[in-house]
Amino acid sequence: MKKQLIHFIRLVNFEFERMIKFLFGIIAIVIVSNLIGSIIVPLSYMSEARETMSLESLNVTQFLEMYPSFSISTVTNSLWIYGPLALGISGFLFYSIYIWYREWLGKNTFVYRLLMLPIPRIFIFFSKLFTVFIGIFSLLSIQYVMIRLFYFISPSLVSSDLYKQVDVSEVISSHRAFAFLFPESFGLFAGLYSIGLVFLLVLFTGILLERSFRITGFIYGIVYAVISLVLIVLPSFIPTIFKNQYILYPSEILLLIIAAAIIVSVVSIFLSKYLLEKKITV
Amino acid sequence: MLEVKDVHKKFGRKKVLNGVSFTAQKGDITCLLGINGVGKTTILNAIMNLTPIQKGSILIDEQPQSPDMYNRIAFIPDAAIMLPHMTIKEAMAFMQDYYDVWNEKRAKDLIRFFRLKTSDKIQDLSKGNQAKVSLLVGLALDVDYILMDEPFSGIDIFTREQISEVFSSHLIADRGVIITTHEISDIEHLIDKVVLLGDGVILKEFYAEEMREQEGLSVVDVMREVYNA
Repeated sequence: MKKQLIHFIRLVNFEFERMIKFLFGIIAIVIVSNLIGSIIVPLSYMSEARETMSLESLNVTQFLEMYPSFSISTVTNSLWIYGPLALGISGFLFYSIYIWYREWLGKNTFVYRLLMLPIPRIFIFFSKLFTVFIGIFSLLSIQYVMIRLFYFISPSLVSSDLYKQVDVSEVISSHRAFAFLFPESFGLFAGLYSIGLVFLLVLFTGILLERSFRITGFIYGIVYAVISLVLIVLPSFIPTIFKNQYILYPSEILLLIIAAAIIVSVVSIFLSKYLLEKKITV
Repeated sequence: MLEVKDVHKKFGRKKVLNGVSFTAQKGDITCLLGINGVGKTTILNAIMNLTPIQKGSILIDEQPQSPDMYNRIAFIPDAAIMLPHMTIKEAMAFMQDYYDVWNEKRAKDLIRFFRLKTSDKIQDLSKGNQAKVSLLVGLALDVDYILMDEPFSGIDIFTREQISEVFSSHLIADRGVIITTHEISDIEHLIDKVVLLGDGVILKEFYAEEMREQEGLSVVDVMREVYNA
């Protein structure tokens, strides 16, 4: 058991090392873009504010009555922050697929080595899953640190009269993407990232179906993903289906969604285990 | 003993193996011969559970396939299967991390035998040297059986000679070897058992020495007879 655990940790570490260039690349883009944004956005705000006040002969009070003040939200709502965030999310979506296909593609077919390791093959599945999650959480942590860093950079570049102090939780809750990525309550956080986990489990199972049965497997994968999605969202539509919005309490609907997500997760893990042990082909 | 029993394998509608059965003993070099596409590589992949079979069974010392079998049987495919950016040293460390049967002393012997430099990256090596690295990571495992798929494919004559030497050295002694090759002339004198394949079935199975002594035929002679070449 201890030996198996060591093998698993080594495999996660190995996968993480293979992800480092990609992860550091995305992190570098996020840091650089965020830093540029935290400087350019307040400077451009100040320049526009001065120009407006001069053109419209406004003093600061009159300006603030007509135009919004500057806050950290001004920075976080800019493309400098949204851009790398979108890049990071799409990058990890791509990486979740690439993490499997790279083993088969190219001159060196590393899948031979992976499948011939004297470890349960489901370890390969979980090591890749863990790695993607470690990557996503690393990126989110950096993004959170960057938001905190904005408080040290941006306010110093804006006239104190025009700066409005907004605390971090308000910045996050007023931001469409951050409110989703950094939920305020632990329950919401666990719920959202569990959905992410189920999504990855279904995606990985779909990929393994394709790798096991090729073109037919691709169709199986799509069908499996659609069935999983229907199963998870179905409870939300129960009131609509039965044309009775009081048929279930919202908490009961949530419970059904959680149950469906657990079923989909368990089926995905067991199906992936079966495919890796019995059906996968190099 | 390694037993392949009534193995059937289809790719789509095409039958590649149609009831293949043979055994390979420890200490023997068993050679799978046949023209391209008769299923030689598929048999090796099936033994290693790298491709599913539709029917039949594969036993290694009477045990069914399991993750632990990779500590008893090694496969050296006809492709570099370590990551190209790895150095030879890193590839060796990777193997050591996972295999209980990794023999570091033998690995160092092989490095000297093949005149490889551990600091070299696999992607920078010639095809011949990449084949040597594949042999290194396979042969340095203290396993009972070794499978080799076309170890002489596309490599120069000097490397071929060096690899041929492996078969008569202590690196192979007492192990069971199953090899597929087109370059039969390089190792004909070393082969114990020959399995001739054609269209997914075994056409003939014989011991090379018996054939030489009793019927005065070499492996190539038998191949000509069987394949009407």
